[in-house]
Amino acid sequence: MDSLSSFETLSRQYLLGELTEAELAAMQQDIFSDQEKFYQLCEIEDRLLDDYARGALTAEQQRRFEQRYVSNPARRRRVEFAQAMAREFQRETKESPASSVVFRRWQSVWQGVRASVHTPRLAVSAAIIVVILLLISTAWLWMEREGLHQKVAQLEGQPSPSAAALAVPTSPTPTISATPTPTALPSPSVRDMRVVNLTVLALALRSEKPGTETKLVLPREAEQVRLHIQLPAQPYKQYAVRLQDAQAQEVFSQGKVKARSEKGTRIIVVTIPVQRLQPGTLVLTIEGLADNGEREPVSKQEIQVTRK
Amino acid sequence: MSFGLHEQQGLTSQAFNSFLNRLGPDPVAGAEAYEELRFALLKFFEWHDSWFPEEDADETINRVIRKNAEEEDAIQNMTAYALGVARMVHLEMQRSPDRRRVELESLPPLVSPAEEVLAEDSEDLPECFQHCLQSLPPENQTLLRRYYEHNQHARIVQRQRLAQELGITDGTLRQRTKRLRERLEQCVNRCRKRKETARQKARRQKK
Repeated sequence: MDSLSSFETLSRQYLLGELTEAELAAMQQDIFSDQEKFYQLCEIEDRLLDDYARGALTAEQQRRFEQRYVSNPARRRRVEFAQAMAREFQRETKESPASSVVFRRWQSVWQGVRASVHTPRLAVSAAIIVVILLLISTAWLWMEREGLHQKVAQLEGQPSPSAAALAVPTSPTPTISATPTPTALPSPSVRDMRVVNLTVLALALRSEKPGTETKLVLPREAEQVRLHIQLPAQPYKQYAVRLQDAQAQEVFSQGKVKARSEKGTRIIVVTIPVQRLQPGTLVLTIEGLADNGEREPVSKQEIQVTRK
Repeated sequence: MSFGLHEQQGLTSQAFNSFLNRLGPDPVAGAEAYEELRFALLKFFEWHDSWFPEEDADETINRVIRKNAEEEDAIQNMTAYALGVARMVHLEMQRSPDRRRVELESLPPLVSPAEEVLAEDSEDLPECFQHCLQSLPPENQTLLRRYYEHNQHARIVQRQRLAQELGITDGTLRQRTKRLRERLEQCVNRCRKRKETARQKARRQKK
């Protein structure tokens, strides 16, 4: 979600039912007397739906959104459509939600500075302060980077303690572990990114034994879970992945996931916004997509999700 | 636009045509204005948490048509009047939210368990989405894909670049993709409804 105009902010409050009676009446009058504003509101609603589908709302916004949208069948269809759009169109880019958080923070800091600087004298003082802060932060980042390099060197020589702490397999066959995004380690700004962005690697799901269960513990700061699913020997080029909760309600699904080879193993990768993973038992189902378009079962297993 | 539904509500074609005449100077303009008004009312009810936005929008229009038929000059501003009626309908809905539950209870019980129905319904979505996406011309598919592929600030940069490549303004690009998205969403909804109806029919036959 980018910095929003006042009309967009007001519209989002309207859509989430956050306006007072008087504000609501004024808004209704406004949008029904001005066709352009009405269509703007329609677009804003689309953006709100997209932000939810992509996991870009704050926890509070997400709660309000779910109260208003998910419980209403007519609106839920719109949410489901936005989710289908996100699954289809959102490609895996190097841009992570966390880097956007960092960007937004800097943007808001900059806006604050800009708003407070009204006179040239203040502008000069502000510029000097900014330069000093930049020098200090560069030195600090350099030191942090050196420290991180040392830690990386240490970690490469031993198993990751954080992985063991975050994901505990209860059966010896499937293993699931949580590690930070590999690309996140070397950069100096990653310290922030690691706090808010976590990648979970499911390294193997070989067993199809019923009752096999894997535990996944999600840190509070995590925004996304990336499942790397190692596949058994199967002839399929594409797979369908589905996660259902204990009531068999679908919490996530993705069709036509292409398998790829990684270190001699065939894997598929799916990324799931953390807010879809409520604590409890989830059933992960993998199906192979045959050439004739039919789906054939490949594996099914339970994942126990808990939050830290 | 269809008069059939309004006719079921006891409205005459004369009242309906008089309403269209008030909306536009000729039949085509009147029909377009009718669709716009209905869409606006539909959104109004959706935004106000109606479980049956289409029914509420049609009920609002019926009341406006009746009023217009009773006193032709009573309504000065059709949109403002319709909004007022919509608010009334909305309030009535809030006061008696159970009025439609009786209708649901009178429906025949489902043969399959509810979970199964829900699962089938959600399985329709990916299929319908792919079907509808594929039915768009390839250049429109690419446009949608590129417009929506990024997140956050990269999205803004990508959209500016896309508008430049196409030689159009950001606003025109936004309008174009909005129309495409609407088309895709309507197609997906129709497809899901078709599949749902077919399943219900199959269940009834099985029974």
